[in-house]
Amino acid sequence: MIFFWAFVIGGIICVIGQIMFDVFKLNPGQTLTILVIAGAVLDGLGLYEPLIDFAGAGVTVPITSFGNQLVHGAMQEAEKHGLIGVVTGMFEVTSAGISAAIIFGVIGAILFKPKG
Amino acid sequence: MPVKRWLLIASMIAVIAGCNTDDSVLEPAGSPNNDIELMKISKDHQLDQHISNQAKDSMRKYAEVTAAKAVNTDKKMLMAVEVKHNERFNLANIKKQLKKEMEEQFPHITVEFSTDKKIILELDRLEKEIQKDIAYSPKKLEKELDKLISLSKEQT
Amino acid sequence: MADKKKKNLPPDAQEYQTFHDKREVKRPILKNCIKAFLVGGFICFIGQLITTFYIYFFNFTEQTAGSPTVATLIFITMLLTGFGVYDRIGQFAGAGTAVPVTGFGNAVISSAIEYRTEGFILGVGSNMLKLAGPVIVYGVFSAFVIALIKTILIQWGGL
Repeated sequence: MIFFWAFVIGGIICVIGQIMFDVFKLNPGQTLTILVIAGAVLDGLGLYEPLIDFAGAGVTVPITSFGNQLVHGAMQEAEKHGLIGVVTGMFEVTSAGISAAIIFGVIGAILFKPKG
Repeated sequence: MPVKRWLLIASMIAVIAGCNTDDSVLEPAGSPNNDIELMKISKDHQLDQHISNQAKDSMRKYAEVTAAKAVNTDKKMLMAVEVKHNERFNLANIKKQLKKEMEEQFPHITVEFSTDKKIILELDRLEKEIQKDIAYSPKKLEKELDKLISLSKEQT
Repeated sequence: MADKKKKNLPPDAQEYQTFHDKREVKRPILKNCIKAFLVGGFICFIGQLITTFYIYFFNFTEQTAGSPTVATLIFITMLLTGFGVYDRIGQFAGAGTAVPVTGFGNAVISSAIEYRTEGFILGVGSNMLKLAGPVIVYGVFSAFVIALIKTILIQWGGL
């Protein structure tokens, strides 16, 4: 079941992105930025975690999940250390996406030739 | 700037930050659930698992629970349940409700509760190991259980 | 939205704007959305397979399996990007490949590969995060604002 909902919900989030491209004429940078902020807002409202329980990778794979994890990390640290935790805890729970992108970016630059 | 505007809207919405009401989302069904997947450790075993067995039995009354696994020492119990997929949207509340119920039913031990698939898999493996080995040492059980409890608490 | 821009322009420019709007290639929105849905959903489906694989065969829980899943997907993205396949899929799928984290990975990795000709420090290093930059910057900042508000609300009102 979770595979079905991962497909559907993930697909829906991508459709929202496509609507931002085609109807609101936004470029990818703006669209992804808005989606990340949306993920952060949804986690602020306590709605992102139930979505993860229900749709699994359908919401952990899209870029919105990045916003969710940043808020999560900040909130966790704030619970322990108060307001300053909001600043220090940001990357506690997430870094996989950024680290992997950078690491495989460098490896990619070493391995692959640019296409003209 | 469109981004600044979105940030403003975002922060306004955040002020309405979700207060999830503490609803009891699982209602006991009329007839006992026979589709539930659980295994009770036999009474003749050296390790006394009657608390876990009782806990698993308590889960029978919920039609939404599809599997229940539990293992206990004399000081703590780790329990994990699986629910029907459509209920997973409320998983956090279900976990809260069932954990409270188990804590009320067994006030003299520490109850650790999980809904994580991995914990279900591991508890299932542990239950089967215990069931097979009549002489399973209590020390080993405590070590295994502690390992699983810290696994269930991992955040990253 | 185009009308708002039109009002602020002198009459010549307004005429051109109308001319431009009429000639602009109309985007097949519905078809694009369907393609985005199918490809994006598929990528998430693969992600779910990877997550399930990590839960069953490694010591990851549902909570912790997200990170290796993302890392694995970006590794696959590196291969697809290096062989030029990702951009071809991207032309077809639009947001279907841009929205998942693989799109983020592709942006970083393809920039890294392209700028290799300018050297590793100035080329690769400086340009890698150009497209990813706003995502990280505003992701962090909006998370900061939201967490700040929420923490203050909790401390004041016992949420």
